[in-house]
Amino acid sequence: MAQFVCLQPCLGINHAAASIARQAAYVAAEDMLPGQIHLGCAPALNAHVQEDIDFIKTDFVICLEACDKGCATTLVRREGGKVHLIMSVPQVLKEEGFEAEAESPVFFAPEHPAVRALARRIADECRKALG
Amino acid sequence: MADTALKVGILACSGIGRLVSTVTRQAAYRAHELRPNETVLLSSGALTAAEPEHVALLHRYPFVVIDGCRPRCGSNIARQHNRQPAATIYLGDVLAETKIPLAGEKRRALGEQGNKFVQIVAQRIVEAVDRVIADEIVSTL
Repeated sequence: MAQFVCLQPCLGINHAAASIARQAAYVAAEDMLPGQIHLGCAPALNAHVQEDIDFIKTDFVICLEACDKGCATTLVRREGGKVHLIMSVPQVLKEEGFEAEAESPVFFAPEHPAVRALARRIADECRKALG
Repeated sequence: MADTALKVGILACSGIGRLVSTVTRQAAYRAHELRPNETVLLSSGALTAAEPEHVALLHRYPFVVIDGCRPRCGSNIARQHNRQPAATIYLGDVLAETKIPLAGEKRRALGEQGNKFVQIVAQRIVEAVDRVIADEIVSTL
């Protein structure tokens, strides 16, 4: 079993799903599983910040993808990490009854139902990985 | 400003680890709201993955980089793609000038001071965008 989970959101700026994923990562890491989740920062990993390299080398890595381009997954693999799970954010949101792309990407409060629903689903996957 | 064919990219680091990551992201959105016809939001995430459509945008338009913290990851992305930003805004510099107290602010939902900082950074972005466009105009008329 993994000691930590690294959540690697794609951090896109033009998709509502990316903004929801970014917020859900905070909620999962800070409210639901504090101390057990590392937040992987794509630009920092790309800049070879050691902490972010360590996350993808040692943690159970979950990529949160807001579209089918798979940018987070591409980055993690390129930097030598193993991607253990890819979550399609639009797919999860659809299953939870949300259509993200109709929304503006500008801001979703941590209390937004879509953020909470995605955070719960992320936390479920983290618990499975952490055992 | 009047609608123009020339657009300026906004490349915010838009990371996740620090408070300033959120500030860069929100400031980019705010600047785009203030100059919707003159700006294009560039996705740092897509550029770190060298996603072709975003790389093409980076090469098509002049752009402003907003770096949140010390690794200056937005500038790093530009260098990786062999592009020189038209302007760079480093939040440490803006904070040194404005001295806005950010203690207690949360990266997932900015409060009053955090949002004040966003507005100031957005204004700096808009000023940089306006300069880039004006420079292009005076160079081509």
